[in-house]
Amino acid sequence: MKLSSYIKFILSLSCIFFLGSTAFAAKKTSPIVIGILAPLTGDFANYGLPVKNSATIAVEKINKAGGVNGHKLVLAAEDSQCKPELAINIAHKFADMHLSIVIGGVCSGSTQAALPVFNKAHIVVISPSATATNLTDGSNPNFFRLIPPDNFQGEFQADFLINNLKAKTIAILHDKDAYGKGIATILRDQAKGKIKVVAFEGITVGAVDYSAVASKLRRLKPDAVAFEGYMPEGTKLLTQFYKKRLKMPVIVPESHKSDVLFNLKAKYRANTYVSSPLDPSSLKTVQPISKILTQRKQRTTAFGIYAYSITQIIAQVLEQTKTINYKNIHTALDKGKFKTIIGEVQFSPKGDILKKNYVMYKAGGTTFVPAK
Amino acid sequence: MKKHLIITVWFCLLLFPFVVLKLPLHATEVVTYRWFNLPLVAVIAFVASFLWEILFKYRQKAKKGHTDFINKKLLYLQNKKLFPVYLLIAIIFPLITSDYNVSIFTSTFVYIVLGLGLNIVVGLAGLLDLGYVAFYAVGAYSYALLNLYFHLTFWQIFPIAGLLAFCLGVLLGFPVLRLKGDYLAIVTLGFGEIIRLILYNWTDLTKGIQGIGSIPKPNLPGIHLTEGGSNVFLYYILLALIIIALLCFHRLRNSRVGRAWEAFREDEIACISMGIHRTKTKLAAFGIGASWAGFAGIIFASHTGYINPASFTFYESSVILTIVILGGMGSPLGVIIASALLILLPEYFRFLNDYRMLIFAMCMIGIMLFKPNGLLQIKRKQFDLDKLNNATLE
Amino acid sequence: MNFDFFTDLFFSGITKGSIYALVALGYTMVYGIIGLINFAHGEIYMIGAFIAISMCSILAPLHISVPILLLIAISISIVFTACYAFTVEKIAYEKLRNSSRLAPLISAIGMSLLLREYVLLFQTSNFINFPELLPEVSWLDFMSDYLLPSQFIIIASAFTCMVALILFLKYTRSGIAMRAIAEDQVMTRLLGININSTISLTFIIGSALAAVAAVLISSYIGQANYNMGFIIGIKAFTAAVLGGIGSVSGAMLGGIVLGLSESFATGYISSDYEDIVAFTILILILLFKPSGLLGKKEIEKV
Repeated sequence: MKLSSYIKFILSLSCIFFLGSTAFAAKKTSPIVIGILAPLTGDFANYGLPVKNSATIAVEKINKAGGVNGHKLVLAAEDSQCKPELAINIAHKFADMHLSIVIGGVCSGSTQAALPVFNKAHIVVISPSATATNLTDGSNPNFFRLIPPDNFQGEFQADFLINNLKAKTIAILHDKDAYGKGIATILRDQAKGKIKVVAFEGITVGAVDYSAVASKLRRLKPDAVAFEGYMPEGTKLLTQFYKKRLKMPVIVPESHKSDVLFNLKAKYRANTYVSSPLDPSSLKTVQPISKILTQRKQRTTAFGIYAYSITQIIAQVLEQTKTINYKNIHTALDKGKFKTIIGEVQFSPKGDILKKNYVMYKAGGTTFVPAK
Repeated sequence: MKKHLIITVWFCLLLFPFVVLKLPLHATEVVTYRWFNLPLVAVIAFVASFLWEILFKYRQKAKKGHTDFINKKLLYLQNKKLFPVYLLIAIIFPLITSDYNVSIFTSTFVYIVLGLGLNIVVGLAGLLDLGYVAFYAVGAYSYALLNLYFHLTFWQIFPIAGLLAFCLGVLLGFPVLRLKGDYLAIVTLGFGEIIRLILYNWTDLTKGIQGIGSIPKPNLPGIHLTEGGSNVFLYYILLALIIIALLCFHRLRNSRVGRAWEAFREDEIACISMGIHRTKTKLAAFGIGASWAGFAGIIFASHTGYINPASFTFYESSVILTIVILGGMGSPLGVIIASALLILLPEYFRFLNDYRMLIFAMCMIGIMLFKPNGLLQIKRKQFDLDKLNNATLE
Repeated sequence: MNFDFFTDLFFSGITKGSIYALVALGYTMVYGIIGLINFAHGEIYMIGAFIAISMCSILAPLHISVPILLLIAISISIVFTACYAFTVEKIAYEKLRNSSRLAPLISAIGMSLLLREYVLLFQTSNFINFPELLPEVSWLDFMSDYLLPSQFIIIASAFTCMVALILFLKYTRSGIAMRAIAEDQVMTRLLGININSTISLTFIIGSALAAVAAVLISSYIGQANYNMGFIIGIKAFTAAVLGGIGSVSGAMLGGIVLGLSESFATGYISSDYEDIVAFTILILILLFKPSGLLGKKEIEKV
């Protein structure tokens, strides 16, 4: 090799060593890094961005108050786009960064894919919104979540249909996705024997129009319709149902619990019910946070508030544990009672939140109103 | 100069409704105007129009036979003497970098195997297959399902995945024997979509959109591997697979079948009139190409540990096709370089955030415009008449 | 009772089919003239919808009445969409006309991705509400059990456009030039026809039809989203192939057939299999009639 090549080689080696050593040197007064696994771009960004924004406010407040045991908190947010493969790569990245706690994921599918990686890397994962039932079936001891699981939502909807709406027949539609089909299946199982399920079908997400489905429902004439899926399809279906003069009540899950739903014309959602955990946005304790978010032109969403609460819980956990390791964090989470802006939080042994408040809201007016 | 100004004004007007105007997201908001974006657009359009002209003049010169800078560099990379260096770097790599890098490179290698397989179908045989992802899915799902229901291990399923994909490839080949060009493309696209839809809807067998998780990684018999260790092991398996694929490709090209494929690509009717068996040749192309996708699939499944139909869309097929064409039809090294560009770089350029995919798309179009035949041209074995004469004289 | 359901599904199918047909025409015309599958066409459709929304948002404070607003929205959308299609052709396809078949294909895929990311980046990934632009036609109310007024408007507009296109291709000079290029490019050039401008015109007309379709269907379902072009792209493309790619009447027929089969599959079987039915029909037709329903058998010259 020529002399200049040797010099180049030695220079590049020394650069690498230098950079590497600075990384080690920074450990003494190092901030504590908390990871966020959420969709920051793509179709689900409006679920993931509020999570990041609200957690950021929480971290700012905690740092202003002196941080955790003198250390400042820092967030490392990575974009999963709700794609399982990306979530797995990010999980590996977080494992590389030796993080101890991660807030996320937002979508059930990517959370499910990434959890084994987090598990093996001994990282605790707390999710504000992943609702797939099997996440807390015991196979993921490092997983906790603030949102009640889907099976409860399916049961709750079935309950409401039977007792409040007094429906005898129901058509269940879903979007074939893990979230939608999951709730739909549980609803169907719960309805067995008590309500007749006249249709159980998956619609195609992104189809040009749904008038055929609406026609089918018009022929079957169920007492109520349930659509389990995300908001874009839900609003399209509601529009289509109205146009085809379908007047029966429609139940949709908490993915529709967002102020974006009110962009839809009032007449389309006159008979729409949204099942959702008790909305934390209405709580007084949340108002100051909501104000800051509005100032920054960011949205206040339920998932965001859960993420804020999770950050508070993390701060309290880290204050309790002497050394930051998996076992201590896990024990602290298992046993502790945490004060957050949504109230007191305690976890069950399997990782679910102990208090499960579900409310059925009517979406006919300008805000969500609890239904009788 | 006037032309450039017109282009600038044109783009300013054209891009106005998206770049400047921001649509309200809520019923309560109104339209907002981001005027500060307009001068940016103007400047970029102005500069770009100059660059456009310059680069096309450059391309004209290159066409006339002057080997330009990029070609020279690429030719240098193809030098056979460099191959052991590449191999050495590839072998040492996972031992010195982090798990994250190994993971990314493993993903890239999977795409290289897919690209090499599709290279056989599209590059050598000239059969435009837009549904290649179906075979990939078959490989992945065969591992996931056979492991889930019958508890077979990675090594047991490995040959099965390849075989199943091969059979599916032959199955696809039969009905499309008579179809040419774009019709072939469309039917294969439809085929790919049908496979995906079956995986999506037949939830009793495939668990639909929920996918199958906890797929184990391959084990080294007798040795217990850690999480990081099995990742590295998978990397080496892939590396070995790529080397085998490259060797196979090389042998196939120079074999009777390979030459038949290339002949078919150039002129089908001439081939048939020369007596080359159309059915056997085409089915061989589909089948062998598909089997590589099957192998890639099983490795993908063990790498990510979780698969669902959303990973096997038409978008994936088009990415693999882009890799093959960008790299240069039929050139295996081109496939490797193109995979690095298309898969590896976007991962490392994550800091570009929102603009990442936009720039990626622009690069894709840019490369096709300036190198329409791909980055590397495949070198045909040629007999140098002078050398031959000199040899016989001595 | 059964007949009601059938008619209901029938009209749903025709509505969907008209939209597929309008977009499929874009694919088929471009393919006929330069042999390229324009993957970016679905995204052009999406841009048409977004332009219309932008226009309506700007004009919202003026409170213009619905039918006039619809005409304004469609006109401006057509103009802008045509400009976009023209630009796309000049950037991504023109220079690649003499290369292999596959280079422009990749360029098209790249362009499709670029347009999608462009809208995502500068607008939003959320779905955006589309204003109600379809006027309520009251004299059709008696039929509204089967055929909604908005469905009627969609079908009528689509058919008007298709008839206009057929007349254009048959009787105007540019239309004849397009057909000539589709048959034999070299000869047409020898006869002195400007190839570049005719090809550009093809793109413009195709995109205009797509814009009309986008405005109509977005009013009907009430929203638009940056991803809407992707699905319609695949469906309309399937329709074009079904009818015989390169054939204008084929695209129209293919669109209607696809729309109807999807509608009946949803109604009588289940929505689950809507897509599978569409693709299976495509493959079956191609197996037995490889050039599509109305396509011409390609004579291969040796």
